[in-house]
Amino acid sequence: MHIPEGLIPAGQALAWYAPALAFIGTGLASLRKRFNELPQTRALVGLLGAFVFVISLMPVPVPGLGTVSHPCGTPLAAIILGPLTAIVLGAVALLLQALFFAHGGITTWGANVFAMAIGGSLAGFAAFRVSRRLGFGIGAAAGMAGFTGDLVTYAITALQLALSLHGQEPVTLVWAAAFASFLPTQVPLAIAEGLLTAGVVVFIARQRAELLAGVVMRP
Amino acid sequence: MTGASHGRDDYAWSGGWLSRVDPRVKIASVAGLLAVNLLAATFLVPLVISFAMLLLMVAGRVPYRRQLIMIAFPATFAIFIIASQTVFEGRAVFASLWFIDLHLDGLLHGIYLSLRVVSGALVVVVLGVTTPINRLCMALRWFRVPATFVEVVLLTYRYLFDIYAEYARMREAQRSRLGWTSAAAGLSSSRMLGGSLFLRVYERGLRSAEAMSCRGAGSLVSGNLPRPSRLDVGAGLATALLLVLLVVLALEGWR
Repeated sequence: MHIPEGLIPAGQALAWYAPALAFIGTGLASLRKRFNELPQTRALVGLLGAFVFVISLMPVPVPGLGTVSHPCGTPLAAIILGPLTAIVLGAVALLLQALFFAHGGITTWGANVFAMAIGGSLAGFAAFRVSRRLGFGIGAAAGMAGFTGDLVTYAITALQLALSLHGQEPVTLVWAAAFASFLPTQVPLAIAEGLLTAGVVVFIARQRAELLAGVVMRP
Repeated sequence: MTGASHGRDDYAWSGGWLSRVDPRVKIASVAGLLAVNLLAATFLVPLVISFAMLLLMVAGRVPYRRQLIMIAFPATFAIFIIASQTVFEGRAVFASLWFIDLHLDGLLHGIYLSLRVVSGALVVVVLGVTTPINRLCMALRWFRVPATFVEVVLLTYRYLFDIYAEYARMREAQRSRLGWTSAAAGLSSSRMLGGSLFLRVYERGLRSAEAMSCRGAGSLVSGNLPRPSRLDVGAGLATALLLVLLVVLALEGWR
């Protein structure tokens, strides 16, 4: 779920922007290098950006909260292109969704980038690498990446909401309440995202293994 | 590359007067309005902003009903905001549900936050639906947004069309071959669809990228927009007046 425009106080909005811009800057430097060395990767980058856009725009209602939830797509992008590039793709997808679908916002862009692009990419990629090191097959490792990236994204979003809306109550209590409210929708969604990520990665590994050249193919 | 539309920004490509306003003026206006919307602790500011945005859409003949449907997402979030604030925020209890106290000041704060969310969403939507993506990207370059970021924005936007076209074609083909008749068949078909879609769109994109490269198309987006016209100056002045009004309302602190 993206935090809508205007919800986060100005100070917190700026605070989330700072790490988001730092990570995006690092991602852009890595992407610029990639474009210079391999210009043909532009097609793959654009395609994965569009994939992240589409996947993270599939709304599923959250019972009791009156809001919606959705998969992230950033773990898949992180496996194929690396977490730094995936962060840029997530940030771009969030910007376009805010502009064309009122999904997220401009002042909340930093917070949403931190949760979905940074949290989803880094957690998904870490889960993939650890799973491969533990001897998981590429499909199972990709599935773990999708599942973990999705849940970490929602844990961060719940924290951001708790920080903005906790009022006189302790942040931890409100965070636990918000995260628990998301779980009935988010756990099935995380499983679905894991299956989708695994399916796409296995398909690519079978059909066009060279696209996964940078991925750890062997445990 | 960006002459097409995905339906959300039909108006942006229609040549209506709002779509002709310089995107730099629009971006600066949006930044000012969002900042005041976020900083002003009064009900009036989001109400005035919402009214101004609705008026602008009507005056610009933007198909506003579709945009209002789009606002439904942040509007539904208002339920969550009001409920959470009524419980967590404030001290003046006006009712109790079992062991949960409901606070009047929290309820008012929740309503204020909800109005802020809706008005902010309206501002962003007006920018999105009235600005062609290529002009928006040129303006982003003018504001010194890194070229690589702007390039990824354009690439992502372009691939949305390819994905949608391929998806519709492949899903129809799977349907006609009974690929979605049971849950197991559906799961297998969706996995196949996801992977094939990815590879087919990738190969198509690769071919078109090579073709464009052969024709000498560069990847960089320029920030060279034409000089502002009278329309742009008028739009800038109107926004400045609105901002002054909003700042006065915010300083009054009427809540």
